[in-house]
Amino acid sequence: MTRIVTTADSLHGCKPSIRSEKPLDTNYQNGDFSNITSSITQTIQINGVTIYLEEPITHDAVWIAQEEPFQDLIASWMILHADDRILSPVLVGPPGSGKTTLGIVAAKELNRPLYIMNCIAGMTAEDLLITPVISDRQTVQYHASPLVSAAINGGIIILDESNRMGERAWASLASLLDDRRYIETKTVVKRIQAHPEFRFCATMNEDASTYNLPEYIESRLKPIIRVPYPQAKELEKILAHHVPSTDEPLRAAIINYLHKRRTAGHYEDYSIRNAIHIAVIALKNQKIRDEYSNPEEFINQVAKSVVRQ
Amino acid sequence: MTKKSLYEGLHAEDIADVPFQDIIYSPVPHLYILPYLPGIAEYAAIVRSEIIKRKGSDFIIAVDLPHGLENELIQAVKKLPRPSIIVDPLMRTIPILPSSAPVEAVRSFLEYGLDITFIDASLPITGDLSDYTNFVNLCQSFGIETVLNSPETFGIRIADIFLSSISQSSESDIQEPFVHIPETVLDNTNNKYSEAEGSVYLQTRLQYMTMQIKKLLKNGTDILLVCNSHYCAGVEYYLDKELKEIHSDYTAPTKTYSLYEEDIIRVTREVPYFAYLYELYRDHPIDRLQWIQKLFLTVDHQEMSPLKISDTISYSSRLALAKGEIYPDIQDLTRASHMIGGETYRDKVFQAASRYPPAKSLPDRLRDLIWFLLNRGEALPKEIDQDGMFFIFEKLDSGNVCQTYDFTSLIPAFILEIIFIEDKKRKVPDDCDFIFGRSISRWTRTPESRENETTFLRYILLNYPPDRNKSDSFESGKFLSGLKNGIDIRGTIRHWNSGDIYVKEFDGLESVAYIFDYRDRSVDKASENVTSSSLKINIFKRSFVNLGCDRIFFDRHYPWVGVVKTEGKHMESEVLVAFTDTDIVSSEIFHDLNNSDPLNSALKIAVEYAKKVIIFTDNAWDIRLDLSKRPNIKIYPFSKIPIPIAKKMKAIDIAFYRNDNRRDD
Repeated sequence: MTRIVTTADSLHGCKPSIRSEKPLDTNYQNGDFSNITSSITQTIQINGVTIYLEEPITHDAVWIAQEEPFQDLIASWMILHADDRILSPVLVGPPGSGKTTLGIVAAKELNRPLYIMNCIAGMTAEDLLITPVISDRQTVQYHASPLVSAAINGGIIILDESNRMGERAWASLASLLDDRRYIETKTVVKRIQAHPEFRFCATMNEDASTYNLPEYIESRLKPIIRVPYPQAKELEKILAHHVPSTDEPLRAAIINYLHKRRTAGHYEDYSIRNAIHIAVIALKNQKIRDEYSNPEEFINQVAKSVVRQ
Repeated sequence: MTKKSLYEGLHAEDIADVPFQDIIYSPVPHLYILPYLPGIAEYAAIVRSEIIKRKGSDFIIAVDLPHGLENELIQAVKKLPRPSIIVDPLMRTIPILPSSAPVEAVRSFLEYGLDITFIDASLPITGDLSDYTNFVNLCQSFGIETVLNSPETFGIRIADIFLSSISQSSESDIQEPFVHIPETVLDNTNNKYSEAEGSVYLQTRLQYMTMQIKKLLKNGTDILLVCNSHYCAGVEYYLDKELKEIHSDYTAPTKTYSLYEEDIIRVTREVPYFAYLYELYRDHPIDRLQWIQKLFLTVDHQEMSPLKISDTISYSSRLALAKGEIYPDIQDLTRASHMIGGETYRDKVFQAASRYPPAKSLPDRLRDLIWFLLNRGEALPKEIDQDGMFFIFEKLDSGNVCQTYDFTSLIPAFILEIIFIEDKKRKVPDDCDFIFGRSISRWTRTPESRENETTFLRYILLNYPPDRNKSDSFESGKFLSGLKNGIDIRGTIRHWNSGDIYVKEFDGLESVAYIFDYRDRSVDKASENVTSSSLKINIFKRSFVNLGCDRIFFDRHYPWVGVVKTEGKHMESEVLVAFTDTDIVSSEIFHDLNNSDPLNSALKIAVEYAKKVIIFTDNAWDIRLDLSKRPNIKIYPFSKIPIPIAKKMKAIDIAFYRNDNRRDD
């Protein structure tokens, strides 16, 4: 089984490596990473309790064009020397602008195990950290969330749509996001120290609730990296990559259509997601394309099923 | 940015260990080449230390500055630390700043009385050498300006000249990353020069420089050649080649201009404040990290805790490393300060980094004059000469007007552009929570904020009250309360049955709109391609976009709307417009506000919804409406409002944001 294994200084300037290694069960002690520095664990023992960890996500994604937010994110995860503070960036942007993709690609670029957690409104601190579940043998098992798994394995966690999360859930992260870098739980263990290479990133939509965070959490989520919608040329490149079967006039018509929607006030319609959906639907309807005098009319028709009119 | 360079930049400590002294090398006996990158203080420092080290020995300093301009350059260097710029008719410029390596060479020469020689050609060289000779002859006979004004008459292709000039700057200087890595300079010098890759202009210049060096080498004296790192390989290439004689006994006429503080950033890649620090600590070793810390310590921003400042400094360095650069440039510094500290902090850091105290600041009255002229595009003169500075005004393809210094027309993005195109009226779709990328946030203000608003409005209404309608028409209304100001007993009637008193109710007060422009007296906001929520700063060709946090503010209790800057739960007012007519629904008019042009958009709303408009502003020059035909619009300086009162609405604090749909605040 091939697993991503990194050296302790992969975020200190050296390029990480990949090698094959068996997963380890580690007798975990707070802050002692001597046994687990170079591996991804599936279970750990804390105070005699076995905690089951999540597997990292293997998701292939590419980041096209917009270099600034990519550099900003990489920079925020770097540290220049041992005393440097690790920053916890937040990616802010409109829906469909590629915030999660950016996080995935940056994690891939740094060759770190990636964990993603989708946040929801009713999420509790337990959901965010460790959840007790009943196993097949009618015993209680403790399952660590992707966040805790990333913290233990030195991975990268992306808290997706994190602005949906309530204040209580956020409160449980306060100690993790500052210099203490540990998680406090009320279930089986009191404290879990994060791996030195653990990195955090939250994504938020740019709406009213974006700023609806407790101030003490907001101050910990720095830097704020904005991920705007791509420019037309960038969107063209993105479309060409994701839907390579589309021809240039079709792509131009899609971008033109979305641009018109944007200038008419439907700002959110100009998203990468919509562009790809329209392109895919257009390809599926290629047979009727000849019925229209030009690609613009064709796109106007097929886009109706994607974009709210 | 390639992956390779991204990771190369991460080895910061390895790179920092390479001493700058190691960049000096000797390709042939007696010739010591000191390559530099233009503008960067570290290279100026190494030039100075090398000259001091060699002081007392027999050597000549050769600098790649134009031969024939010795007097102009020396005069300009003598004026340091006051910065200046030397410009020729082809817009080729030599900025005279302390952090420039060749300028430091001239300066050290003046201080220590050493031998120095300028080895670059001063004329534009086009085509092959015979073309060059022809060009020189024509210039000598008719004058360079005459030749350049009608080049076709003289059989010269003007495109060649300008292409030559551009190739000189764009390829080598502007695209160069902001590096402090000596290895990069050595890489430049190690690159093999290929004649096929260089322009004819560059080839001729390199040959000319090499010829001068060869002449010096014949004397057997050591030569310290201070040379742009991009030209070193070329000079070396021609050293063992047979070269034709090139005569350069004609010098292009030049002008020397003072550089204003605002312009320094446009002519050098060094952070202006660091150029100043280099001047202050010229004989001390450069510690750029300390300079960066010093810069942030000069920025006064109460909301920034020491931890946040430390994070900003650290993050700016990381941004630089992510680009493969070792120290942050002004772009990284401002980006980091924006992302950690917010917009206001970013602006303050940018201002601090742009400072160069020995330079003069652009006078306000000149700014006002420029804007006054620009706002009246039809009567625009082609050029003006003011305070020793020349401006050219030109129409852009878009129909907008832009102005540039005459001598910096090849340096992009200078100064300002005014958008004359009217914004189309924006309509808010009923079912949409978003308005052009800006969200509608609902909040509840702090009780203190509400109280401030009441005090502020009371003061304004008392001191600048709306007039009573001129019409004498009135209705009789039931007198209900003794709290009114009093009634005229002669104008009252009593109902015969109920005994109620009825009084005259006049039509009411004239509707007045008050505009409060809290912005400082500045013209910084306009730049090319400004969109409604973004500020684009273009420094040379390195442009970056920072999304702003400008928001449209409106109040459900009182009809007023405005543009505010937000940071968390704190809002700073920019332009607010308040109406006396309480029938106006602010949620229906706020979409007409444009945060890229708040004052004019506010005025547009005010004129549309009120009979009389009172404006408090220090930016009256920014108003596009022809006020001479609008007696109903009155403008007062903002200082008319006492500071304690004005402060009441300068900041708006929010108790909490709400996610419910009750829009009662």
